[in-house]
Amino acid sequence: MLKMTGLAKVYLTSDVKTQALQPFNLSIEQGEFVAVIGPSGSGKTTFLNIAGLLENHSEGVYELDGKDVSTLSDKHKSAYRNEKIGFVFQSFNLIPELNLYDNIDMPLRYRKFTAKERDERIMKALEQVGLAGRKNHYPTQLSGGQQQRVAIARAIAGSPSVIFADEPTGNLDSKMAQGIMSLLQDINASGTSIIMVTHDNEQAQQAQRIVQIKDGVLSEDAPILAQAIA
Amino acid sequence: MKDLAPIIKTLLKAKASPFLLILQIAITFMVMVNAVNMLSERSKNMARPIGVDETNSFYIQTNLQGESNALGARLDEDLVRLRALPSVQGVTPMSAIPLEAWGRATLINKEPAKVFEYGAYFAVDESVVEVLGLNLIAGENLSVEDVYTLPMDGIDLSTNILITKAVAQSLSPDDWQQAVGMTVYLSNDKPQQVKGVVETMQGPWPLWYGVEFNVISPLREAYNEVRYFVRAKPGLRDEAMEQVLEALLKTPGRMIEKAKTIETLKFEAYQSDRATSKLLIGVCLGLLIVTGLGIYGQARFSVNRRKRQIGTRRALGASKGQVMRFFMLENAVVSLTGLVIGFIAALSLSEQFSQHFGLTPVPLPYLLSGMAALFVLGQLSVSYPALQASRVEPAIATRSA
Amino acid sequence: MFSYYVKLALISFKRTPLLSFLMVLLIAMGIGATMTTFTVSYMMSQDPLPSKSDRVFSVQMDSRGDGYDWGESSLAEITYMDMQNVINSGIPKHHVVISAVSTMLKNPQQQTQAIKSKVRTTNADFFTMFETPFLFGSGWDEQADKQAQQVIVLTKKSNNRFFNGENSVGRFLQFGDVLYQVVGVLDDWQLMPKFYGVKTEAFSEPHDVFIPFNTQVKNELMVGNLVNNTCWKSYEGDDFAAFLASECMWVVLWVELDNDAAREQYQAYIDRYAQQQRDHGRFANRIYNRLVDVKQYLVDEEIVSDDSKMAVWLSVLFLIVCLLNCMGLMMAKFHGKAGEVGLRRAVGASKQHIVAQFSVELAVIGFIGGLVGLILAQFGLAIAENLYNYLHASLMQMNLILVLSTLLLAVLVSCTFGLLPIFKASLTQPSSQLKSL
Repeated sequence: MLKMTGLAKVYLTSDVKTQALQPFNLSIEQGEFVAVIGPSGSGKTTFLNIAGLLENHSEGVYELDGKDVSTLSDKHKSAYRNEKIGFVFQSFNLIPELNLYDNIDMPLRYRKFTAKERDERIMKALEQVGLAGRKNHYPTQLSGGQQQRVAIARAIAGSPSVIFADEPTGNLDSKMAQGIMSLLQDINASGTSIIMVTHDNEQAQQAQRIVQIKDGVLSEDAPILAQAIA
Repeated sequence: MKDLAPIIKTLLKAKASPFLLILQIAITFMVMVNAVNMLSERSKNMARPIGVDETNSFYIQTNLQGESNALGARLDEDLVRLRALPSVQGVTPMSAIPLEAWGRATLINKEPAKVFEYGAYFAVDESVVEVLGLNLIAGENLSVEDVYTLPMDGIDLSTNILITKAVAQSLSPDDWQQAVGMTVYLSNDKPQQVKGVVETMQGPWPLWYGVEFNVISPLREAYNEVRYFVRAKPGLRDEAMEQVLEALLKTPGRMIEKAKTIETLKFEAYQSDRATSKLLIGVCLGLLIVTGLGIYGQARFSVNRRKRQIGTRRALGASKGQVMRFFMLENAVVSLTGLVIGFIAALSLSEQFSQHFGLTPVPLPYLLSGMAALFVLGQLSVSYPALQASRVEPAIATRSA
Repeated sequence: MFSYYVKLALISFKRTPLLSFLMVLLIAMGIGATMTTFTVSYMMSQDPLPSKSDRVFSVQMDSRGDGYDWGESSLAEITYMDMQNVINSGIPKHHVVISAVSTMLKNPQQQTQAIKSKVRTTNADFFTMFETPFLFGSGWDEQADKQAQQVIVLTKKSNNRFFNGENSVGRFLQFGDVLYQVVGVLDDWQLMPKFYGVKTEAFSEPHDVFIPFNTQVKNELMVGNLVNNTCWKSYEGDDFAAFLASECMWVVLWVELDNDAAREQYQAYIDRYAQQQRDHGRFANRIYNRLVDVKQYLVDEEIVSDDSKMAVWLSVLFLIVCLLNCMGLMMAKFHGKAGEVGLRRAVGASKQHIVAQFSVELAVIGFIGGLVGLILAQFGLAIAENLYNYLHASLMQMNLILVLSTLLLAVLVSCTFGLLPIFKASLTQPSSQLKSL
């Protein structure tokens, strides 16, 4: 589903050249749950941004569903993010002046759904994260864990094939974090790929695969590790 | 001044917002100086003396009845009756009234049938200088012997006339006093002898270029329509007007077309100028307020956005004064740029206005004082946000967002 | 999608009330000022006769002697002689002769005090050519013109004054010291501008009553200051007949010519007439005959004052300053929304979506600004009515077209001045804002 060959990222400012990611190869199949670990500043978020089509890579080839993404226009990439990708962020990134319903509605608005279809999807997503009764509440009325659940509902409402999660539990206590992790597990179980950036080794162990980034160098631990835990 | 280089650098980087302010200041300046110029021109027009006693005078437009050869006698009856009123100082019949917007234009030629100058023609009687309160500055006053009474247009006779100083200067540019005794030809090409020169008496049309070019001729025109210019004894104007109207209305069939004080006449003559002046003042005030608020708003916004940066500067040892100076200086750079562009724009707008609307170009002192005023406005508007910036605590730098 | 964007715009309005309010206020002030001055200027320059302004012409002839070149402005009137000589050509559909006198009027049965009134003197065609509406009766007929009958038509206002609004047709009005019989009462009627008379009265109400021009002549009623009278040459004699025979130009003549052919024919006719007169020693200055249609006449006579045009330009500049200011606020507003833009971009909104969303937001603000501007413009017009109290009050009233164009203008300028801020906002990188919203 996702194939990166010789991919690298270089940031160029007027006088400094920063190699954020060294060239690497990586491929991820549909339905996988991949954890990306590494210390802060190692290039995890850059990797995620590139994988999630939020940023362009500078070298190599990135194929998504067999398509070279560098051939896609901005408009196509937007549509791709909208239909195939879901995002979950560390700081939830809900819009405070919209209620839960409208927050989840947001990505669906950029697709050609009827009002009825949108409503069905939103309600289904809310049910899935266990917040169906609070659709008219505003984000500030919820706890951090609940807010992250809303963000997850927003990510899954469009039935994406992959979810990118950037430190989804980073702002949560361990109890809430565990709830979010099992929610992600459930989503993964229904066939959606999950690629999760985290610096928490324990959480990483819950993934099927672990990719490590350190100082811009991406390396893959043996998948056996994950199997052993499973 | 060492801040100047970084300020210019940031301004160039930020581009849009300062550019908007620059444009705003430029337009405000351009419109303002031109508007003030127009205002002063209009108020100069309005302040010009009519040349007559404005406070104690009024005029009546009324009718004389009867066969045309009897109208002279009717005119005499009216004049005798009105002059006898206790509150009246003097009365003269006039063929037109200054600033009334109705009158007779005439050629004022040095030779017959050779167009020299245009002006307005007033037919009056010998008492005109005393009654109107004109200032005779050369030659002699009209006397009873000069006066003719005619039932119709008197412009056809050769008489002794008075002229205004403006006419005298035009006739004899080297020494206007030489105009006394000259012979001039009016529209009918009959010779007229200049007997005296009065300092000012404005013509009927306030906005006409020839408003100061007037010829006063001692001809009592006994039409079926006459105008009486009445000067009341000091302070008795309204009383005199009542008495005059009452006296006139004793004649059966009397029709009072108009009864107006000279003050009202002048007020009405310039009403459109006054309306435009008020509009111009309104536009200027609006512009100043909006621009002042704009500078204030932009400064606040940029202070808010740069709070951390300011805090860091403070933490690194910048004094409150230095922070404040930075923002004041930033505004000064923006304002001056706007004013320089505005200066050029104002000159070209002024050029356009003088071409299309016949206005005088904006004088340099206006431009300079306008620049100073807007510069001060800018500094004042920015001073409060700058003060707020100086109060940003250095500790903000170490706090996370 | 549009309604979604409108919803978002309203939410955004609530989120930054002060900023949004300031934007609305700025747009409203600029629009209010512009529409106030524009309304006055627009109403002044309206077509007074939309159905036939291109077919109604002022007949102008330069009948002056050699060397008299006092400019075109004194040519709107012609001499009585020339009017009499050309009026029977039969080419125009209508001839309208215009002059005016003033008199004292009263209802002899009811009033003791006569009221000074303005009298329009004209002919029967006036009422047909200008299609005047009648409340009672009608205009007089050509017979009345020919016989110079003492008939009179009243405006609705003077009918109220002299006859308490009753049907006064057939009754008598004392005109000076003779009686005139009422034949008709006009309904409300106002040409705007009232172009047919003198320029200074273009924005005032019609004269109080109308009588036949020939009756004025027969009764030797002198024109006063209600009429421009240019006498370039003095005349012999001092009676009314001498005045009529003089070279004084004081009669305004309007004709209605149905088509270009008629116009050409009539032009040729008056040119021929002028040439004949020249052969007899008149028209020595030049042969200069013009048929000036209503619109051109308004321009020639400078009916719309320079001041009112200048006021429009000044207020447009004021609007621009307001909008530049507003543009700064838009930048600030959108800058504050960078996080939201990043998020929306991340979840799949394209640049176009962002542009559309913000355009709608600005359109909504512009619309509200337009509404407030309309209210401000009403205040502005009330002030203008006060300021220009010497002009007809209907000049200071907006019609539906002006109201709609106010709103349209507000929305349009808001979006135009928003183009740059919107464009800048749409460039926000989706990834840059997601770490901390």
